[in-house]
Amino acid sequence: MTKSEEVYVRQASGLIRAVSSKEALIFNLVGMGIVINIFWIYWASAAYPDANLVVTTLTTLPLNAIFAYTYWMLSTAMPRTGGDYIYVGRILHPSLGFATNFVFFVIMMSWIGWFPAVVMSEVTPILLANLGIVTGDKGYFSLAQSLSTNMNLAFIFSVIIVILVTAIMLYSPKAPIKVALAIFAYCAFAYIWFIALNFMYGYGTFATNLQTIWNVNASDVVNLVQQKMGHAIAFSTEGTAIGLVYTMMSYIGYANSSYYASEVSGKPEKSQALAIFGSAVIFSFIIFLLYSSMYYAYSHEFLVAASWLSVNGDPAYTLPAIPSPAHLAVFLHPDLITAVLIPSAVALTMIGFAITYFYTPIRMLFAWAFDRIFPSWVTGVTSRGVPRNAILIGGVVGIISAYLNIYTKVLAYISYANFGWWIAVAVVELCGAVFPFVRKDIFEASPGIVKIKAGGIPLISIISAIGIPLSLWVSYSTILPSFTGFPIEPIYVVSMLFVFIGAFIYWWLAYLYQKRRGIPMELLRKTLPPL
Amino acid sequence: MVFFFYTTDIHGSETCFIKFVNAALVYRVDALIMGGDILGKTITPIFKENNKYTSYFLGEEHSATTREQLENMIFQIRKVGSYEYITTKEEWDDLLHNKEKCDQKFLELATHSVQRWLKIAEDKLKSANVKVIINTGNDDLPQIAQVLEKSGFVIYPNEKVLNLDQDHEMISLGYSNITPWKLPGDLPESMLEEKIGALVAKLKNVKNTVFNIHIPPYGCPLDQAPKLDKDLRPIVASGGEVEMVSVGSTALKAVIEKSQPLLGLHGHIHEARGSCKIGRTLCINPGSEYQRGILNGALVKLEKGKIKFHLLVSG
Repeated sequence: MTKSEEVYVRQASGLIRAVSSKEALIFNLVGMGIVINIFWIYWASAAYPDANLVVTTLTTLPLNAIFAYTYWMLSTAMPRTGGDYIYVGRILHPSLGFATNFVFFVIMMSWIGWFPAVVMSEVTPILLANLGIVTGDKGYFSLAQSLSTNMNLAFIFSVIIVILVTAIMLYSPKAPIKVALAIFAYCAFAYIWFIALNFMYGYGTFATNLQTIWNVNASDVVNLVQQKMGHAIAFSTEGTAIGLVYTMMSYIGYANSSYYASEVSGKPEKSQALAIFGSAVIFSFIIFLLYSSMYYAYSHEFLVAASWLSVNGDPAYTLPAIPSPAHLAVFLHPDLITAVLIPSAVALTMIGFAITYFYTPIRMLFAWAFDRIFPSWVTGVTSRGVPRNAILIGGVVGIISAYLNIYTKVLAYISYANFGWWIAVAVVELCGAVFPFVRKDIFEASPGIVKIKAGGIPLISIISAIGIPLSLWVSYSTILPSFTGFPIEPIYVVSMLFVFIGAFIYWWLAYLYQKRRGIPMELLRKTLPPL
Repeated sequence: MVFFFYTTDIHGSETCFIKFVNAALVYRVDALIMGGDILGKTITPIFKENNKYTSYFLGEEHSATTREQLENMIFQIRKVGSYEYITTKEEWDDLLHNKEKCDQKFLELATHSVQRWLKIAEDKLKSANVKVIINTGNDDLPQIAQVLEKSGFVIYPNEKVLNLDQDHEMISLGYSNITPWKLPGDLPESMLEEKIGALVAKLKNVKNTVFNIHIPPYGCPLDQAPKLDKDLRPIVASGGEVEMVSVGSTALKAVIEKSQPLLGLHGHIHEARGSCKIGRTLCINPGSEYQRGILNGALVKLEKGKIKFHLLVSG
């Protein structure tokens, strides 16, 4: 007898779910960006010259595993669309759930308009400069230069991308997932190509080609910067500790699948384990290999030196684009594929961010409207099950965020987004820690894996309790001068806190408004005992 | 004025049924309404051999050697809407090769399950002043109607007009238009029209009425279901998403458009959780996630001639 025959199934109707656990895993990885650090390393090398980023990848995996564990367990206990909005709302209070969720919402929506602008002003110039090098056509260099300073073009491009992403979202519930999968496939190919080139050719080839093609001596660049800095470029324990905070940021995105948990097929304890834990573990290996290969091919010393000169606008920096390895790769292996493939993968990753960080907050908006915090018309869906009205709101907010990012300093607090993000994570960790005690009913009804105990104490409480100071430490570290390179700006701290407090106040206003209309919103928090 | 909790399509999930009963106490409602499709779809055998019990469900093999472990195994099977059957491999093999015997065993287990549920409801709610209304759906075997009819505690509303309070009547119909599965409660649109029309004719004031009708009306967000191929598998469109199609009842839509009741309570399409308006009529489908033991429902408060509020909840 086969196992499938062992259950008798009578003739009856069925049920489907839209997102498989593997798709959720890949969608999370797209939200983290498997090639994005090819771009960011130039900035990180300038900001944290002493940090050994290879070491930070291995060190941050267990730290991120703590947060991943909390999200995994909470999404298993409460596999509903809304993620931390549901967890915090049911465990602590709906107003705190909304405020926490709103912080993530604001940050994600701010990114939607920002990433396309970066594609136009920083990544496209790399692509053009690369083309200039492999074709010998100097026109590409001047075009790259003009793009990097043309803010109007950056805005127009951002608007086009936001409209395009909105259209993809409106097309069908699965369209953004499919586009994200295509981006992932392209980026995976670019990643393999990039890693292979780096390990095959190494620093010797890079330095020789840099001298031959652009008449730049890599050793001279390193020596010059060491003189200017007044010390040798080398790894240090302190520098690597700051680099830890930077690498922690890179992991943002592995919990995205918790926000649409009810749409993911399979048992949540398994599907979310694969999506949340799987993406965190896989990502750590991805960036470990990536950083290792970049240090091997371009050397830590040169990356730091070139980035330092570029970021400081030093006239000694003569390369035609910023010293991201997306640009340096064309010196390692000057061919058309490398010239186009690597920067285009970085650009697509950023557009993938625009998709994933659009998809996720739309689910938040939808959940809020279902709960009457937002007007109920926001829950309107099309015949294909697309949350049309929430998506259109998201599109408008995305365009506004692009405008504010490019033309104003209103969203300057975005530079402290990581501060707000990790405060919100701390609230979720607090929820995980108190969950078994505050909501015994939900805890006892959860799958067995959630109820595992160590020394008589629920494991989720122990691990989440560790996560509280850890997330607060990361949050605080992100605003330290040693991390940002600037003095702490109290106004930005207050702005970020205001988002949280403002959302908290908004929830209470919505509550009072609905109460006056006779709608008891407190019922939304109730959980029905299963026994 | 009446305040009630509505849910539907729990498909045999005992966890969901117990949550349904507890909803009366948690939400302090005047009435509990179940919209149909209460029976499970599968029998899960538990094989007993030398004081060891083994069973394969949810993609895994489970075993039990103590009474506590066996009870937990049964709890898990019931939670996802299946009926446990303690047997031997020989007997089960024999059963599987005889469809009539299988169907008979299914009816027997489903009947016992519903009777157990009714006892649970009565034990928990007998001292509470709450109406418990449980309808069947198109997925339910006709014999279950008799089990519900015989209950002295719950009200079986199918094809009847009930008073929710002094101002609001409710008509109930648990059938569906024809589905690809050709189920016991599937009827042609013409018969649905006839049955709904007959119920509407009995109403005092249709404008203040609740339509507790298992199927949703055609062509609204509540009736969007996966389009199926001839093998009853969802059709995946070129973009990779499952193609959706309207599967609601055209007859019901026509009646709602014409008579404009106060409220429509629907189910049937698990994925189509939400609400919509057809003219003045608010139609609700709370959706279903019974396989995870999640009870989706709607809290509705009716005041004379109007809906004071509705909230979609997930307990």
